[in-house]
Amino acid sequence: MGTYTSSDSKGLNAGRVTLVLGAAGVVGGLLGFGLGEIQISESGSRFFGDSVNASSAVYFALVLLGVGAALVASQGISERNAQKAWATVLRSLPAILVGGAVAGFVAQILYTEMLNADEIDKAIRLCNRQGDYSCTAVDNLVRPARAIGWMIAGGLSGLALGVGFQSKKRMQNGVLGGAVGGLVGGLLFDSVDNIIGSGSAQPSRLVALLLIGALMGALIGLVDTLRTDMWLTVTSGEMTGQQFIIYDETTTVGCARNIPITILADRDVAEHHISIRRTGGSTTFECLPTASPITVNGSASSSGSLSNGDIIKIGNTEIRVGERTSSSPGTASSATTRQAHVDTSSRPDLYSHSPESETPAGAAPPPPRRNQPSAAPKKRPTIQMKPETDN
Amino acid sequence: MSRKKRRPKKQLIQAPASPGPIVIADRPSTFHSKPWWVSNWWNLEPTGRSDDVTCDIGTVGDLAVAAATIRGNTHRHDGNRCEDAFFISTGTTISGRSFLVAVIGDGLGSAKHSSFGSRRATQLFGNHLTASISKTDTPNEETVNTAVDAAFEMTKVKASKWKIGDLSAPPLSPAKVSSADIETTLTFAVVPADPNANKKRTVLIGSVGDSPIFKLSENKWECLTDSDNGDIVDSATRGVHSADRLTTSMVSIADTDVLFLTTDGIGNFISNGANMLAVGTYLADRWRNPVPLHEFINDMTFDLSSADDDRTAIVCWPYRDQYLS
Amino acid sequence: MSATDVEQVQTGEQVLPFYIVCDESASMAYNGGIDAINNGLPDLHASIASDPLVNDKSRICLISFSDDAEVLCPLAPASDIDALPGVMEKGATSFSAAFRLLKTQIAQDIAMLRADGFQVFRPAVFFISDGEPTDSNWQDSHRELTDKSLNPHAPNIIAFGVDRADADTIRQVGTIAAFLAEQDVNPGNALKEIMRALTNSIVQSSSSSNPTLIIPPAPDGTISLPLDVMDET
Repeated sequence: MGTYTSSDSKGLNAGRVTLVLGAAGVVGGLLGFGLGEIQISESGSRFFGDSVNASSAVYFALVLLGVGAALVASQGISERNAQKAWATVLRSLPAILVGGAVAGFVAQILYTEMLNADEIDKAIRLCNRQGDYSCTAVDNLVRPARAIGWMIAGGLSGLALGVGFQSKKRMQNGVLGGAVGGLVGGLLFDSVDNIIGSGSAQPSRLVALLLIGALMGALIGLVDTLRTDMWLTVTSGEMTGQQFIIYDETTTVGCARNIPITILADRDVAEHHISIRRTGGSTTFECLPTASPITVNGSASSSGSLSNGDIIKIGNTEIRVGERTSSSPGTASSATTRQAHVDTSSRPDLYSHSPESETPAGAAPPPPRRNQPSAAPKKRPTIQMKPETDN
Repeated sequence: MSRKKRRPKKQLIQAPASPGPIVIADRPSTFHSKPWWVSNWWNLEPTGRSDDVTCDIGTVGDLAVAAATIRGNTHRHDGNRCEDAFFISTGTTISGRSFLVAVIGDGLGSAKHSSFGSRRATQLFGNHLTASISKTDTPNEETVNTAVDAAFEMTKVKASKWKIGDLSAPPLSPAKVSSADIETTLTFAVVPADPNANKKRTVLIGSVGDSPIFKLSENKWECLTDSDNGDIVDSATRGVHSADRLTTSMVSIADTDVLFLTTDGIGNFISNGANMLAVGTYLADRWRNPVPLHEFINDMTFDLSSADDDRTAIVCWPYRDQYLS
Repeated sequence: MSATDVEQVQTGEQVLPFYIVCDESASMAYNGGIDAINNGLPDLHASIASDPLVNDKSRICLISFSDDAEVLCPLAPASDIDALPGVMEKGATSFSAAFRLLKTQIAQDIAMLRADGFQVFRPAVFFISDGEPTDSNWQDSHRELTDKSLNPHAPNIIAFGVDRADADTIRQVGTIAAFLAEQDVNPGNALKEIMRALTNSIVQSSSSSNPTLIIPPAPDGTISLPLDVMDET
């Protein structure tokens, strides 16, 4: 799967990934607040008012519907690909709703179990005596339970994001980032209420949900970039600067609007043009049926291997391959990945005797590697004219 | 891109440094940058009669007339015959008044036998027109125009009739040669050869195609035929065989004027709208008075880059007595 | 005979401008087009510069286009050119960029030539492309370039298409002739023949005593596309 960002550098623009998802989370928080207010009425809960657990489930499902849908749709919207945005949202809807309901149900049970009624009464009396109308003591009792509840909600919301993109890795990233974001947001929930200080709970609910949405989005984005091994950067055409993270073992690139990496504004790109496969630390590609060969570092090819710095040309669009290694520039962090031991700056050629080029006994020889493209910008050739000869 | 530097312009018309024609502009053309016997660019017509230079000079009545055709560099380079032609004839009316008929033809480049076409058309037209006017007593505009129309029609018919083996004729029977293959422009003037009490004379001029007529008065050439002076030059032209009739008009020539018929090989470089070009300025200066034959030919062989077409000029100086001294 | 100092008088030398417009989209590298054009440029130059009449009368300008258009060699006599920037593969295929640049460049060049005292014949454009344009509204800028009622300096365009070029598109681009490479012909080879054909066209057009654009016969490996409207030359 791929996700869109925009970058001028050769490395992955991690900040941009985080920012885009964080912003999507804010929008989602707003949506989630609006949807969640449907469940809240003056007398308590509008639906399943008799059952605290069920009404929490409904509330969380509605809130996470807003947050989850915004996070899932963000990639399609950034690519100006409405079809992709809708498709991923629809695919993730069941997971969002079920996940939200489960999260709310479970969170309420935990909340109830973790909170001791006697201790809460004691804390309230203490607040009254001290004139602490924000009642920090109660907040401190409630905070862990709320945080755990939102952690579960965040994790399940992140899982739904991955379901929408049908990506195992994105599910993992979503669970991790969403849970951490939800946890932090949950911990801050009550503090937001105290800071807002409004007589009504609504404004503080809004701000808290905005915060939770932003944190969930940003942390999912951060985990995405930290766990990314490979990305593609478009270097020509109308999409110049756009980056796509490669998440999964197999990623399709083409002009179809419902695939992970969509190349727009290039009529020479087939709907499903190439398939990129990452297995055991190596990356290969293959042109799909009916697609024309691509070039890799200037040489036409229908299949082959890819590595950091390779320039592939699909149709008229040039794309640079980025891979996270210890010497790759502009990486988001020094976090190691399973590719980290590959030193691209000393990548051997076909005829060197470095250990990487040795083929283990009995194994098939590795695919040939092409020369690395020059990092310098292309210069026009100068064509010398023939000297004039006397007739 | 690297470019060689051009020498700065100094004098626009200059005598050649080595044996060669007068050079218009700041440098000779590439064609004339080497002598003709060295360059391999100056080739003879394989079947004979390249017609590099043809010249007639003489007088009739009070007129001094010089006419010449010079083969263009394009035809020299390709080894083809000159495709321009001129014809000058003289006549006398019944009342004893002399006149000159001057005719110019420029064979169209697309015509396979244009050299024959221009020569044949100019001769037929000139002869017939002279004969017709000679049969009149006092030619006026109407009678001369009638003679012109008749000569034009006769030319179109007879130009397509020849026998294989006739001088300069195509080596094919006329049935196998279309009129397009002998197409040519045609420009003429009928000039009275007698002096006039009021020192002016009326000249009938006419043309089909792009060979112009100029009048030199007060050191400036005035074009007497239609010309297009837009930003873009249009090389398209019509010819005798595709036109219905000639366009004619009567013009007044003073005794101090000079009449000049020419093909576009020179005509394109005389003036551009109201502005005289370098060649026009040079010839206006040279041909203010009659010149000796060798100088006339030399004047016509000026060297100007891109002036590669055949050149024909008929120059008529009225009242030649004014040039006695 | 004495020299006459007449510096203010123009000579009225005649010039036939030729514009060679080359597609630089990325696919031109893959199909050998870039190499064919770059290899053909020295021969084009030699054919023109070595002919005394053609060199004096013709002016050559090289323009390339992909995402935008660029003048690689401003209009100049071939003999004044020692070296040329070659074409190289770049990005998309914007016909609009090429036609807009042609319109402004031709107007500028004609104005400059006229100011220098030249008489200018109608410019000729040789347009070479190997694919479909990536801009959808190129016909507007094409019309603004070629419609004589809108542009008095409208050039004659001979269009050549190779590889994935569409016949209808090439036919629309050409105003007096259009040629399309046959499907089974290697695009690089077709482009070699196209370079030869346009060289011959330039030489024959300029060496005629009455310059008029000579349309080449269909280069080897191409077919001539019938145009709907034949424009006057």
